[in-house]
Amino acid sequence: MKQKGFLGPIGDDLPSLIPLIFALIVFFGVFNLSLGVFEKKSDDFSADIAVLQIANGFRGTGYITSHNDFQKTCDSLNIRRVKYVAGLVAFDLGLSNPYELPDFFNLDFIEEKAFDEFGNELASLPFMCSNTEEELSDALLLKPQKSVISRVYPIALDFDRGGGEGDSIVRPVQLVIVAWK
Amino acid sequence: MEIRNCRGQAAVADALYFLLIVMGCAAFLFAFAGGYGRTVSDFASKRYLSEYSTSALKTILYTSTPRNTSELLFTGNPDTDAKEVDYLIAMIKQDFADDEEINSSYKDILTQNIRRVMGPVDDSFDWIFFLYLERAQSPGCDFPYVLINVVDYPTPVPVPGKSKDINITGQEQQYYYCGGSSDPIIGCNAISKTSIDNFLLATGASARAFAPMNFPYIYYDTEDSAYRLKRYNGSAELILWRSTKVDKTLDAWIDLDCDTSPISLS
Repeated sequence: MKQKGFLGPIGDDLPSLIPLIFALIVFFGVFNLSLGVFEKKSDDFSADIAVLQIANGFRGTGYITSHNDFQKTCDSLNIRRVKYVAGLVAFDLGLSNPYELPDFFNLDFIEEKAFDEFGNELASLPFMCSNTEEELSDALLLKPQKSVISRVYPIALDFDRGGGEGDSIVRPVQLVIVAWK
Repeated sequence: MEIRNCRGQAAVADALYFLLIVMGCAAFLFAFAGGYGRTVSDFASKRYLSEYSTSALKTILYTSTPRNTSELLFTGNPDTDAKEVDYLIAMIKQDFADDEEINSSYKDILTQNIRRVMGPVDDSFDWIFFLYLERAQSPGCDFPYVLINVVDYPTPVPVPGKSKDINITGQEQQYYYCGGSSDPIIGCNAISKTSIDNFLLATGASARAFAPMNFPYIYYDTEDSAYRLKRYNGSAELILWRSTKVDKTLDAWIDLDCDTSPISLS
């Protein structure tokens, strides 16, 4: 047992432990990173799919006939993976002005006015659908792990101008969907 | 040398082999994580664009417009709203029926409507919208309306004193009417579906929406000495592609016969 360089059964293998431990650290580090990326992307895809489902529900035939029609679609949606706000927003474009995206934190939804038989206004019904009481805000976005997806689609809305029976027009509007997790 | 004296070196060699294998696995995992979902992401992006183009075409075709072009469709006050309203595409067909051309004021209303609907994707995508009809007796007069949106990039300007730097500022979206005249009497040009397809080969189309439609027209039947109504089969199409620089000296652009100056938006 007194040979030169012999440090004992464990001591003799000590130098080989360094690359072994280094390899294990690298492997589990990359594995953990990959798992994180995989989960994040899967979450994003799940949110993307949820937004597509919301959009497909509202777009339907590309034509919304009334607030009742919109509300029926809203009630039939069963999306729990993301929190969302969806609704119809008017285009606001001067011919010489470039298009500006709607302010997603303060969406100004189109309203349909309900009248009684004498033409008195009973209520204003906004074309808005949401599955949460939570409001989208700057502060919410600053929280870690928050991701927001927004989509805008053009859609035709049969809109009552309020001038009596049959006074409706087909108006191009934007279907805006904002979803977050 | 006794073999047991080499035990430590063998263990180190084994560990290094292990490290090499683990590094290979880690590199593979890293590459997989980096590329994971790229196909799905591309698919989602293309799907959005395809759905957008379909929605946009439907919206353009369904929209109402005042019959008196000086009135406003919706002002918020029923007393000042336009009294007579019709579908935009119905009015365009009606206008087309008498002289087989679309009047410039209707063209402008259609253009304004298309611009409004395409606003959300204007920054990132160029597009072409056209009405096409199969006018067999006058080939070459098949496009009564062609509107294209392309970004006009300015010529890069070298930055003084810096040989490698260039200034590229002031690019802006421009809208051009293409196809020249569709009136067989004035004389049509050679724009055809092939011209459009050749142009799209240069840009790489991303999404295409198509709606078949008929274009009625009135003609004088000399046998009966009466006016009759006939129809051309046709379509409305909207094609989008990622915004790209268009070389206006290329044959593919020249063949579209677009106006030399863009539409004035004032």
